[in-house]
Amino acid sequence: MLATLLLLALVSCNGHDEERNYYAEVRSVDKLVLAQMAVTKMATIDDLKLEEADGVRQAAMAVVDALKIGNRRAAYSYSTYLRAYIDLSALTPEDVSVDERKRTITLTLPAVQTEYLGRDIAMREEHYRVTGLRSAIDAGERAAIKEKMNTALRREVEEKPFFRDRLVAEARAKASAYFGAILGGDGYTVNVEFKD
Amino acid sequence: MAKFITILRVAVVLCILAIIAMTAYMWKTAPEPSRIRTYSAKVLDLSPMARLCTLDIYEDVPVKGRVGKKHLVARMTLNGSITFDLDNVIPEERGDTLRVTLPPERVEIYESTEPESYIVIDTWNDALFGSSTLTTSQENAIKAKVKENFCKKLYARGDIARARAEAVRNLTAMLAGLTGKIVIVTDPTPCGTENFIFARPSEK
Repeated sequence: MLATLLLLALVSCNGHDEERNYYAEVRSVDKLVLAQMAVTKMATIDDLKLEEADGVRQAAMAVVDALKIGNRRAAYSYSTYLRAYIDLSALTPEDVSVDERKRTITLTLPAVQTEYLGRDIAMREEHYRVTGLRSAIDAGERAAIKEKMNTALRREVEEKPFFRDRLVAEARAKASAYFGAILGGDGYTVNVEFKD
Repeated sequence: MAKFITILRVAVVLCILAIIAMTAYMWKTAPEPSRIRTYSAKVLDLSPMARLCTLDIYEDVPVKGRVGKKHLVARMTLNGSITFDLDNVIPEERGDTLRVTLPPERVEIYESTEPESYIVIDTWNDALFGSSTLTTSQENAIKAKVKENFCKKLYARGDIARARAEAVRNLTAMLAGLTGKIVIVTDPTPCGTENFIFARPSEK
């Protein structure tokens, strides 16, 4: 009985569950990246003020904070990167049409798409002041701050089309310039259009 | 009189229960308290470019490092991309043939923006009464090392070689399809360039 229990304990502690949590994917793509945007986000950590508290829970936290000795203030920031690209695998020979009489080439490119490239691995500490008997801001708390900033940023990008619109406009301008330079070598006028 | 006292007791108990229920309701419906305040996002930089991307990488990596006697164990999800700067590629035209040399790869590695892409599992100090709190710069130093090792892993397991081979194929197909000419793309370093370009100078 004891041996069975020991065996079960060993099987449950072999670390396979931990390994399963690590996911990896390496994917072949055929994208032409035409523009990249860096968006910066800042957050502060500070005691709650009673006059700014909204609701019972915040008021309770503000009272507890007011009783603590010392200050605990910090500001952090990092950048998130978005990019605009066209999927070159969707480009077909029919997308290029040449009018020899007018000396014009019309290129119809796939729609410009946007995606998150990622965010800075490091966090920038803009300000840090922890005094008195207050606890230092640790790695776990910074990770929570980053998570909150990330959620807020993604929501902001979704709610404000300004970010993606600027990125797509820049990408379209770059596509026109780039493909115009490639195709317009022999005195042709190049018109670049998009499928969307 | 005894009946009146009983009614009074019941009324007091009911009042207390009502106050508790009301407080619990207000507590539950109140906004979650947080000492963190986020500010509006600002566009820091917007750059046009022409970069061919042939490989996207999404990988969870363990973060294990130490600064002095302080240790950090975490899990990070990385987003990587292998790209080739086509702005600096100058095709050499000879008759009906275009000759192009594949430029050095750009290895871009960032933290993913998916939820829970960085989770701190444990921090500790080997010293008996030492603080386990890592400063931001100490934590950033550990993470920078993880990024560097991940980049080396991409070269070692052949991801860069695969990205360069795909780039040769994709660039040939793109230029041939657009120009109608014979395109020859040569790769001087099929396994990758040693002095690769890292993501952002600020993150080095």
